[in-house]
Amino acid sequence: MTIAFDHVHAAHCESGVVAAMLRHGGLKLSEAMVFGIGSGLFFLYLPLFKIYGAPLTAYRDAPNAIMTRCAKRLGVGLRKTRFRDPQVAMQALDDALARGVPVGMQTGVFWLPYFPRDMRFQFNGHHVIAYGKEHDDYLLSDTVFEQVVRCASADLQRARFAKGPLAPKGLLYYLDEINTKPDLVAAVRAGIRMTTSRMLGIPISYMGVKGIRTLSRALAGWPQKLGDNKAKSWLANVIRMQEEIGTGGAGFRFMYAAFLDEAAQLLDNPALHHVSQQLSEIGDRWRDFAVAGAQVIRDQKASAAGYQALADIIAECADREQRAFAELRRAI
Amino acid sequence: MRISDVPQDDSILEGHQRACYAQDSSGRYVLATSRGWDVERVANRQAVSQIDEKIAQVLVDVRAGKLSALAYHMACAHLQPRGLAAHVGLWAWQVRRHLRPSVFARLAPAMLKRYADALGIDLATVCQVPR
Repeated sequence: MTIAFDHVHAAHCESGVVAAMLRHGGLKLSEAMVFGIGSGLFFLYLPLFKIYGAPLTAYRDAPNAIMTRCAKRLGVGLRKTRFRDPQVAMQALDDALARGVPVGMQTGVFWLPYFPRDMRFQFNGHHVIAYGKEHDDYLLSDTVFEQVVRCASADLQRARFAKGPLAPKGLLYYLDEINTKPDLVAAVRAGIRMTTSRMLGIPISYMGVKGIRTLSRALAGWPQKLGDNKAKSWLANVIRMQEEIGTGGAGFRFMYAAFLDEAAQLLDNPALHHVSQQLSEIGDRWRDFAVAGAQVIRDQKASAAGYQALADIIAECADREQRAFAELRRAI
Repeated sequence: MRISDVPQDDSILEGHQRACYAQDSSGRYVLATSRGWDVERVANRQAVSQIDEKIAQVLVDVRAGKLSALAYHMACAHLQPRGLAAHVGLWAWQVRRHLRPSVFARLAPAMLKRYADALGIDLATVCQVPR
């Protein structure tokens, strides 16, 4: 049982899945557009919430937020179901496939055997699409892979019922009532407005541009506070969240620049194109931070000056993002 | 980032390619593929080696009879007692008790089966550690 489904290779799982499902339903939108309309860009640094012993650092908004906002702004029905019983959840997946509906699922990366070994971490916010089943194997379209993959049902069940932070609880979802002529201009405006207000307007020092500044200040003190090895691990965690986990480069900044580039044409607004250029340059600075950070990790005995230099790059990114998003807010 | 700057280093992707956003010669964004980046390999190694060290330490303790084999499999799954407890449907203190070799040795096969299923390994493996 296989549904004819075009695999999409994308930078990020959730925006890729939504773009692929929309396309299957007849609405062709790029991943970057989905990401922008869903207000995917964000920054979050939570020093008290530890993942693998390091503070949670995210360059994006909460998992599942992109698809929810995107569906709402495009006027598309998003049908979501969570389950208590794994058997019922697997049966519901089979039923959907039998009806010819490709379904999205939230999974835990650690339990998906097709992932490269060193990328299997306990992270429960990964999204994949099932488009068929052959014997005991599910046929999956995992948008961060260039080709479709297979996964045995026991493994998939384990991944769908991974526990811990962001536990997926078997989440299954599909889109229906896809409006193939949505009001894209309004959707793009709403998406941008939310992103600027979330990046600039939240009066909490761990979120948005303020969060970037907080990270910068904290990072400079890590070698004294944590010692060499732990400071390196915390630094590595920031770099991994920026580059490893499927962000399209520079912690989603390049993807958002691609979105603004498209939006500039759609809205016929050259100011958006200017912000897109700025964000590209800011993204390059984030990449510089990653390169310099990797050098600090490589060094036998990293110096406090090395961390200070990294903190300075991040502080510069914060200042420039503040200006870029303020300009974006005025432009929209 | 320009397309020509997209890194193509041997990295953690094991031959897969990752999609990333880069600008072509006219400045338009396109989806480019990358074989990996040395920078991400360095950061990833830092994280993975920390976990590997932890697993090696647990293995020493298991062989010395200080911890049960379950501690080893828990570490291999990147889990703490609380996380493993959630996967198996127990309380964290129960899992902590099962990390004691004397308690683990007396566990019923049904309980071992629950651990095996949750960790994706077979029943015989739960009670063993690699030589």
